[in-house]
Amino acid sequence: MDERAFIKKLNRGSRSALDQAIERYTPYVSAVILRALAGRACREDVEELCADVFVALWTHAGEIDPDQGVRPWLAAVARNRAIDWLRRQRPAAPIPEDAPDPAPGPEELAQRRERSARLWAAVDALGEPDRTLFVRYYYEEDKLKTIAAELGLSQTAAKQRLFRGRKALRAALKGVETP
Amino acid sequence: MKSRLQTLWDQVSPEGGPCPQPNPWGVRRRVDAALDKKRRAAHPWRALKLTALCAAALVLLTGAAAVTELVLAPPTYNVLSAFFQGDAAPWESLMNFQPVSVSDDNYTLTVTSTVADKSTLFYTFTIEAHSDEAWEALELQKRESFYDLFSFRSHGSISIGGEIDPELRTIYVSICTSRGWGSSAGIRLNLMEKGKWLSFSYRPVSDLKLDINAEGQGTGGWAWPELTGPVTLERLTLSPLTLEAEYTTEETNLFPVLYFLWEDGAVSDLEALRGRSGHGGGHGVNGVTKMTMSHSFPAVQDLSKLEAVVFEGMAYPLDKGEPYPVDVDALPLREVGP
Repeated sequence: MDERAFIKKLNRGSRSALDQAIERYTPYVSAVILRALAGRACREDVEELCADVFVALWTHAGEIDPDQGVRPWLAAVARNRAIDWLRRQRPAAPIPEDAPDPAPGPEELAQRRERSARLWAAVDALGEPDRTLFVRYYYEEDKLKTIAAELGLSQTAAKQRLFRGRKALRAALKGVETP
Repeated sequence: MKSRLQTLWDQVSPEGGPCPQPNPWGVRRRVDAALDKKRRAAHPWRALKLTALCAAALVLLTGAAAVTELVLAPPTYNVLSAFFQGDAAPWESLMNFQPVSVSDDNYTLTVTSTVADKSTLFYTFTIEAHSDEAWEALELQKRESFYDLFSFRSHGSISIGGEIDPELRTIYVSICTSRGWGSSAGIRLNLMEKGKWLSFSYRPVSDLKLDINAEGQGTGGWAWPELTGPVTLERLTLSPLTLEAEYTTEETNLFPVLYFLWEDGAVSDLEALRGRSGHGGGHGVNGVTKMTMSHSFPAVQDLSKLEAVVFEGMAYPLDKGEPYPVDVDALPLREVGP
């Protein structure tokens, strides 16, 4: 089913179309959210924000224009939701040293956000076209063939860049761990 | 299947752990919960019925006498409402909702409803913590890995989802699994005392088999929309809950392109026929893979209204009459659903 037919189905209030949208666009929406947050979000944060975006899609299903496609709409809502979320965040209260059995929840989540932000920063530092290649291939899960064509690369060259980029990311993240 | 970002994360992040990209099913669970909450807000009587169900389960566990009246009220949250869209009321006879439970000092685990067919077992259960400490331990472990909270007997591949009610210190869980042999299964909450297993039996609903033995097109569906290729469809098994296809293919991500032809002359396509849960696999034979794949329907199906299954332009009647040609493009398309 092409995107136009899918949006028409969504316009008619089809729940299976919403399920398909979640299946298909979660990586894309996640990437938009992570970009807006400079990567500083853990899986739980992104999952919550993605769900907000898809609930909004369901609420406004009748308003999506089949000629425009659903991606621009999702991107705009995802960015807005991410910015709102960022505004709502407050620094976590320090945990008292004598607190019994400190709960790993907020601390663990904060560490995960930090790790995510480090990966995003490392990808951002790759320079073009590798930055776009990594974001679209790993974060948005686009087809390598499509990305390579749009970046003017052969698939082999794109694969080599991904290979070299992974090595660079590994080195960059290891460097952060052992300053 | 791992997301690409998780693969990258595993390769380059020294600490490992979950990558920041969520699984679509996790997002879908949250969306379902949010939409369900909205629906309940619009129909508050449903929330009251849910509370009544919780009360009924608790009363049953304590063996109180005044249970009968509450048990007679059909619960809103049950295995059909957890896995299938639409009004479950007409299908309640397929379900078993006699609760069975096991307890220790800290928790009570209760299987609240089951439904099964040849290929798949669906069930719901609750975990009730008896103290704040037990609830905290449960929440902590759930955050680490929900799946690892449990051990299973006679289960195959598993899809698991859940909702929590902190006020009742209760988690509501729904599970869909490929069936093993027999008609009983077991589950254990790993936080409970050693040896505390909850065994339960179920009664599979009857199904209908259609021998096809024809070659035609397969599709990668929504996950691989551009993937197409030939498949040889051998047999279909239909129940009100699932569709199982046995076929051979050279590409394991393909599924036969099927349509349902209803007695009113409308057809439903594969997009509308495949629900949220599926399982299966294949093994190689002489360069091709023999696959057996099951998919749940989005809504429970009334097969008495299904005329035939269409594959590669041929309708195979459910009454096992002679196949006949049909042009699905000329017929009105309808969704399977409520």
